[in-house]
Amino acid sequence: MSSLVIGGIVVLIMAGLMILGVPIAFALGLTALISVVLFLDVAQLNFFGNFVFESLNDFALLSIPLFVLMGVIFGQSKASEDLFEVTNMWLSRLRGGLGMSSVLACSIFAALTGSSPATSAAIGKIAIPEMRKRGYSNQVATGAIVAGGTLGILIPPSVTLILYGISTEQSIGQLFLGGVVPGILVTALFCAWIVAAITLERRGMVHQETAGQGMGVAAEPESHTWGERFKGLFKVLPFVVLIVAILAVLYLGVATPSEAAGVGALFAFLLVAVLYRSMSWKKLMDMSLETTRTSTMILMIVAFSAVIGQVLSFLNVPQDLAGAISELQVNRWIIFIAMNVLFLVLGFFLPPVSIILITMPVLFPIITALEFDPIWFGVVMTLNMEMGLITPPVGLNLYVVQGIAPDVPLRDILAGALPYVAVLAGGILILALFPGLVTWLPNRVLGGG
Amino acid sequence: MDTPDRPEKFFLLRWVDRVSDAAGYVSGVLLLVSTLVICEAVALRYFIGAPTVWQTELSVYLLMFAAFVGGAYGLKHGDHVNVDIVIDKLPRRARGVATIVAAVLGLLFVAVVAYISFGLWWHATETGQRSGTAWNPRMTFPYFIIPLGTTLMSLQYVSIIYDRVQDLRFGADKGGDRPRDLEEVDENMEGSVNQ
Repeated sequence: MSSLVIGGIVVLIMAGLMILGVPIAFALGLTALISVVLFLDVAQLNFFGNFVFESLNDFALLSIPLFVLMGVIFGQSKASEDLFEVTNMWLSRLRGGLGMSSVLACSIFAALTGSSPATSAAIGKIAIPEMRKRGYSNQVATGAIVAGGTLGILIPPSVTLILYGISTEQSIGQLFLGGVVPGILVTALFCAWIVAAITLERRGMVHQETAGQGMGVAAEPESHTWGERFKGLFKVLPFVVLIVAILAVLYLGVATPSEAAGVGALFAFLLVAVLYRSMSWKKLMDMSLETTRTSTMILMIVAFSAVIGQVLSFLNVPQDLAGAISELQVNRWIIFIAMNVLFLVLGFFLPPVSIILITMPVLFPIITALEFDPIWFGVVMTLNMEMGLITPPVGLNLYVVQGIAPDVPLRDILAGALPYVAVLAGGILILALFPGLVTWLPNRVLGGG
Repeated sequence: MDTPDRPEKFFLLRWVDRVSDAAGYVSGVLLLVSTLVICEAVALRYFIGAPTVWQTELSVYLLMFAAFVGGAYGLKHGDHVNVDIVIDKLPRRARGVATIVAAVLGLLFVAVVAYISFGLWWHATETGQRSGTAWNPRMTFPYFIIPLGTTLMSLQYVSIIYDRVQDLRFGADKGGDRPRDLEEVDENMEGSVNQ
């Protein structure tokens, strides 16, 4: 049997198990088990245990629970309120300033927590009521938060980029640095869309007023003195310093990502305990349980996707697929677009973590064979995954925002969020035209990553 | 809020649920310990230039513990993400059956892994295998993590299957059949990192 046919059968088994509702991690493992029995030899099952053990026997993986812990600590603190207050002080006088300050607060909070749903929930809880009070339409107010939250998987430290780095054996430090400029770029693009959306709505004001949220009754934005603004800046400074310090440590190559995450989590704990004086044993236990739940979910998928990756590689599937595709002699950008369409479709159903871990063992040889920069590809892929968080039926952020703004119809949230899919696609286009935006910073790494 | 004719859960299975909860707490504490272990290694290296000997290895084993033993806790609380858009479209009874089939497949898998990894652990114990690093611990301890975790997950799956079968027979527990979705929204708001 040709290895590509075997690959097809494996994909069908996997899809069947997932559609039945078997947890993704176990569906991957069961597929690997069935593949060994069908295509290899039952005697090989003994290696199975070793694969599982070795797949988690990796110090770099420890950065996942530790960054998750750091995120959970910030997620349960009042940092989100302070961030929004300060970004708002600086931007409130501009047109769309409140919307832009929501996105900016999201991007900083995303860096602190690395989690898209947590960012949407924490910032959205404060920002959405505020925006609606100021006459923002439902669409603009919720769209900014749904999209702003997706920055969580792009802006470093990001669990998604860690997993890409581990499954493709790329430097996590370089991936983080590669995400910095695109993170700022996408934040700016989101802000630009908010201004554009508000301008478009004002032109067609009549429609908006019949929708109930009249722009005419919008409250005037408060003005803040420069003294207040700088005082506010001082309040969020420790958080920004922590993120910059983590990136700097990786840039200088003095610590591994796991070490940076461990120390980062400790400092996050101290910051929250000292600045907000809201820490107790019970809270600490809750946070560690929360971390365990998220980590076990991710790490189980890591463990069993590594096993199916190994089995497929035994069966020569990725190697032959890469060979077949490079023999096709089509333009590599056609294949790039095809892969992005595949990721987008998978993103309708699966979370980013699973998509990366399932596809990379098979597709990564193609990416290197076509001479795409692996760091650049990881960042572009993450942008693509952000779309999956916005698009139904699974689009996690949509439902998070619906949960915190239950009186906004899902229809409005969708209408507000969908334009950001186009904005993200535009972001991918910009990065494809100017790959230097991703590769410039990591290429200057001092410690060699 | 059991309906009157729904019998109380078999006491051994109630114990399984309790053990899974305990596994979560232990895993949580060990993750905090691994944070401190790493910070200690970094501090020693930074201040007195001491080399990292046992910290890296130990913290990786703690990670494995949280992943596999904590996995039982995650299973009990429905944390292991799955694709549910298809089964959610099914009528109530068909959905109940599909959930049970999925759980049986999951049980089959974790039980097989438990069986295989017990063999691996036993082999490491019999031969007195060591890790061969500077710290050089006996491998019997880290190799025990996977069989322990997958055994706990198998037991938790038995408990879940029992619950789902009882749901089919006596109607869903705790009134209404959509509590899980509500719980999911709550969890996301708490900041669960389901990305």
